[in-house]
Amino acid sequence: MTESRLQAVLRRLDMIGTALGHVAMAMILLLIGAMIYEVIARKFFNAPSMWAITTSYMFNGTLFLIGAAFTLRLNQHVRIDFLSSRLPVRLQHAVNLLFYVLILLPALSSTAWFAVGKAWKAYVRGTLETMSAWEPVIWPFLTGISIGLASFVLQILIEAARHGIGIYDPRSVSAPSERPGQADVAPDLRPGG
Amino acid sequence: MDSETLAALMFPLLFGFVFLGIPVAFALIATAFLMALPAFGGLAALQIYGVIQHTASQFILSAVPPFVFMGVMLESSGISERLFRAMQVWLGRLPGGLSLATMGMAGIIAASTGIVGAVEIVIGVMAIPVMLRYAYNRSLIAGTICAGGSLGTMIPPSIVVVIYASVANESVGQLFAAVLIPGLIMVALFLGYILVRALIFKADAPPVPDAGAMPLVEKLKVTLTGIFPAALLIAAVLGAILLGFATPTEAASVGALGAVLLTLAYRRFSFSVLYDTLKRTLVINCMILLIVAGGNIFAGIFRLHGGNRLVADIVDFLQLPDAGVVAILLLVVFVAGFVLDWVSVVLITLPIFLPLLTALQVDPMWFAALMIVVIQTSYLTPPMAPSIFYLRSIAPPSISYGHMYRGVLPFIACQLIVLALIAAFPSFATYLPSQLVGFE
Repeated sequence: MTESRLQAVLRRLDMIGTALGHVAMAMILLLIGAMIYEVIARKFFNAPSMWAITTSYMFNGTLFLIGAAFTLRLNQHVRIDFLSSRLPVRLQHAVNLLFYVLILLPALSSTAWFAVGKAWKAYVRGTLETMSAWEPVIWPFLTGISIGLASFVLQILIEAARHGIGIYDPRSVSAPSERPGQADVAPDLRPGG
Repeated sequence: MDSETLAALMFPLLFGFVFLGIPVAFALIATAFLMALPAFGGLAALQIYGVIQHTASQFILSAVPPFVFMGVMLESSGISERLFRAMQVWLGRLPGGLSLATMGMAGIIAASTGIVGAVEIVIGVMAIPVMLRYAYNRSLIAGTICAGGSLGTMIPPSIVVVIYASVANESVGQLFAAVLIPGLIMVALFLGYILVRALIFKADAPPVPDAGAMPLVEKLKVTLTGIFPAALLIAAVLGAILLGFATPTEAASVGALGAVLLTLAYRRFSFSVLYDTLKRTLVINCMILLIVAGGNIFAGIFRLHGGNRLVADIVDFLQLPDAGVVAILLLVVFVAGFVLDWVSVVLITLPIFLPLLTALQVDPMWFAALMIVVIQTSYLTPPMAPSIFYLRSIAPPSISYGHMYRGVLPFIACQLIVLALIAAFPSFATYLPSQLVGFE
């Protein structure tokens, strides 16, 4: 009874990562759109923009981080599991739980902490991006990175809790070596398994 | 512990995590973090943050989402069925016609999508049932699909090449140019092998009755709607990059728009197709770029601990001729490709190789072409071949592992010929890049 309530809470919390995943999808369209605009402006109107290159890397740099949580929820960060998939499922959950809690969470939560600090400083000082002639303020980009890292940390916490449930009751959550159906699978990197 | 010991410990630790089934990107970040702690203490994460921000700011990498989008969208466009039909019209009557048509289709799909594995699944799902129906030899079927699928690594535009360019700090256009001629030679060798085999062993590829027997007008129509749009899209995207008209990101974005228009023209477009395309693009992009970030973090800490010096000392100690060093580096890539996905292979090995290559004054375009062929060969070589795992996931049980292993061997031989050609005649890789004035 209690763990199903916990799982309901976890599902609620998933919505943050999923929502950001959808923002990231929109950014893919914006990135492509900005580039097409730039090509047309430069080739047909001889009027290259100052902002296209800068915004495209900023969109890309932001979207892969704010999409990282969503990708983790779908278990699509590539794992090499031809050995580990032979371990008992409970042990797989235990390995992932320990790794997340003891190493990955300390590493990434402190990284996210520094990211937030950098973004805040850039906002207060009004720091400019200096790689292009356009020189926009850089805090929105750094804020995107911070949100991405923070939501990623949250999703790691959620998945750690799921691995904890998996040790207790392996049938109620999917195993680390289990992957969603073909429709969701990105068929590129898998070395198989 | 001294610094170089920490550097040396990074690899066992990394592979320990990886084999425990931890996602590769996480294993890279965690290993780097643990090894940064003794040197930086509480500021270890600041190192990680610095590299993440740097990776997120790399303009080259912004080519990945539009390229992936273009490939995924084309997959839903139904272009592969049309391509296969058009190829059958022209190649169907030759000996081994279906196999040739499949390989031709693979070459064009590989040139329109840079996603390894996707090519193989697309061509396999379509061509395996047809070839089985006409009683083609099963190892020839398996070999054709696996080898055709491996072309996604080699034929530009390829995401492998974009990632390689970002790590090696080379121009994407120049690298595309470097692998273009070797890629075309490879397709020619593949086609040649199929043709010769079908001529000698007629039972392996029985003739298809009525293949291509249609009025000329019909033939032209099939070609015009099947091959022409894809060829135009590829020529436009690749041409724009090679000739320096546009950055890779811009060309890929225009290609993404082209893929949407093609899907509209083929009446396959819907908002659910667009949504699925965006979702898969996002997931592939996040997976790739998080490994890139993790790999950069790992390489950064390895370098800080003097790891590169350590590797250089080992290489010095071995006292190998320059060619021997290059051969060993390629061997490392080949073996790493058995267990790791290609992004991790590039990210883990290349940062260590680059200083060695610079010291030996190895031509970067030449080495890139060699390394990309080796990654592709590793993708195809049993027993730990990703290509065979993909094929298993789509092939009927009547095609056994034995068929697959026997089937890929001749194609591996073709790849080794290409490798030897590039090694012996570097200009196959270096000529085209030298003729280009890249955009960046």
